[in-house]
Amino acid sequence: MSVNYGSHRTVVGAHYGIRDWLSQRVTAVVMALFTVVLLAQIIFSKGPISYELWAGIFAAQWMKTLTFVFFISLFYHVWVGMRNVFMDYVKPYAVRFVLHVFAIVWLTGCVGWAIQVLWRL
Amino acid sequence: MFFLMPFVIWMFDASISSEISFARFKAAFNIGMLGIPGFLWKLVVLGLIWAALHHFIAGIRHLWMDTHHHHVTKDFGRQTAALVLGLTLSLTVVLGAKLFGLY
Repeated sequence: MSVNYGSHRTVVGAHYGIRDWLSQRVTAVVMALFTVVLLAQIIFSKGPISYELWAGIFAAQWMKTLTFVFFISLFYHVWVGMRNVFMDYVKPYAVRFVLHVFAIVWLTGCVGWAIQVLWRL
Repeated sequence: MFFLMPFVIWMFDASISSEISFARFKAAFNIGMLGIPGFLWKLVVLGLIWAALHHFIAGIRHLWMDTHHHHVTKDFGRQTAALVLGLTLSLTVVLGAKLFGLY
């Protein structure tokens, strides 16, 4: 394999590294923001969490949109993370390929379900 | 977290879709579901809370290291790693106590 670090690193290529690195951080910040916004609305409510309160939080259009962005960020974050784990630890190409396909199918199913739930609210 | 993702979406689905599903959601944790008692489901959720919290706080550590390069030393790494572990475990204990109705 070509050297991909230090002063003799290969400086040409698809440059997936910086894109994955950046998207992993941007999606993380989006999810952190969503978490804080959601927790704030729960913490500053009174009494036990009723259905009215919980559904009310997600009734606002801006919250629906933020939740949508959260889900997309989550799944992209998971994809980049899992792909990195597979690339680091799974060396046989056939096994890695199967795991990649499995992760894509699994995440596509999950994102579909999550958006379906959000869509009909 | 990867494999429990459908469970998380199920929780979102059941808790938000209707009052009936909300009641089913509560019953799963108070009584049980699929022959598994409620407290075991709560334990699964606590495991998820722990994993997500650890990921969250370790992620903040990473963002800090990305933006404050000059802070990064071997000692800083060791200390902040321990801090992440400690902070996450204490927050998990607090949320776990809430989850199991201790306060």
